[in-house]
Amino acid sequence: MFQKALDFLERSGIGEARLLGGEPTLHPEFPRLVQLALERGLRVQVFSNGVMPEPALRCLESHPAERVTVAINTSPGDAGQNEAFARLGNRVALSFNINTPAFKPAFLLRLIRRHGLSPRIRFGLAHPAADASNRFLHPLRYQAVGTRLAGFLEAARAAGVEVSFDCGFVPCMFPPGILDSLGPAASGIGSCCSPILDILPDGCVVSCFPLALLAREPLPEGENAQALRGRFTAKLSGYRRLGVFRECGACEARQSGPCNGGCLAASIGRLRRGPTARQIQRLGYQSV
Amino acid sequence: MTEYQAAEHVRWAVEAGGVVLIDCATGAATTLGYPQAAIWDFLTRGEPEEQICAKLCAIASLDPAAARALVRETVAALRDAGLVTRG
Repeated sequence: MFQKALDFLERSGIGEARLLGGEPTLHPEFPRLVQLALERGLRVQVFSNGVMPEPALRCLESHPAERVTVAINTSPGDAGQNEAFARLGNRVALSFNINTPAFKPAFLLRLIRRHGLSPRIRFGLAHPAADASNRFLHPLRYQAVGTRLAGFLEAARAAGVEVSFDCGFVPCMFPPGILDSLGPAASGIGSCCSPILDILPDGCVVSCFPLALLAREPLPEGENAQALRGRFTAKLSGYRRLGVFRECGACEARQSGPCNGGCLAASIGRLRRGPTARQIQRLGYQSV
Repeated sequence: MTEYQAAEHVRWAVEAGGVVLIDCATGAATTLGYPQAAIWDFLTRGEPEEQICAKLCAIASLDPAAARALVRETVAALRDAGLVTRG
């Protein structure tokens, strides 16, 4: 299966294999999988929680940062990651997944300085799974997150740390003027929700994890990523009428292009079915 | 009096300018502006046509005949599109 996935990357002209999970370093054949990707001439990026078994650590530290990088998702006081930080050094870029507006990102700068990590931080928003069974950040809290991030960006810039944003961030969550000062880092904000294509161990490929229930099919033989993205985009195009906020439908940034309405999974979370009998009763409507 | 309800495979979200209906079986979207969005809202709350007509007179300043025509036309379009079924 892994070789098929590498074939897919090759014929799609994608130069990097991204290994994510779960925790990919726990795979018993992790070192071999990394080696297979490298032998194809691909760069490897591993998304990890930073607590990894010795064979995985040894494997990752044996390759140069130009070929193998590790995005470690961290949180304050996570001492279990220190060994990975110490041994992998500048192969590591920090990743921080926001699931509450009360996050405190200053510790990220301290970690980078203390361990000589790559001076980059990637912020992500915790998006709802298609069945909303996970802990995610509700869009109503985006603005509070944007305000807090805005306060951090100045400190990051002063420390020479580059900040980037994963999918789902929208321009309206930030205070006015902040995006202009972000430069290239702001370029994807509002527009990067598109089929990222995650290949699962069962041989299926999904638009992304949160949309796994809606857009999923077996990894196609002979087809490339562009064709598959096109098919997923078409399949999900109806849902694209929605945005994460009720106001998205009338938003100029959405209509003129800079914003596509944010995370599609979060938008789909706004969909509802008919009210329950109890809701009808509470609203004072008669059920005839 | 006829009652309708949203078809089993239909979900919807309220937007600034109306309601977006999604047919989850096909992924197709339909946008309803106002006052059709209000008709949809009443339908999904299980209200019969006559009651919807009466409310529409009030909220859209329509005379009873115009309200009835609008409700019937909207319901027929929704029914033809498979978005509502008889309750």
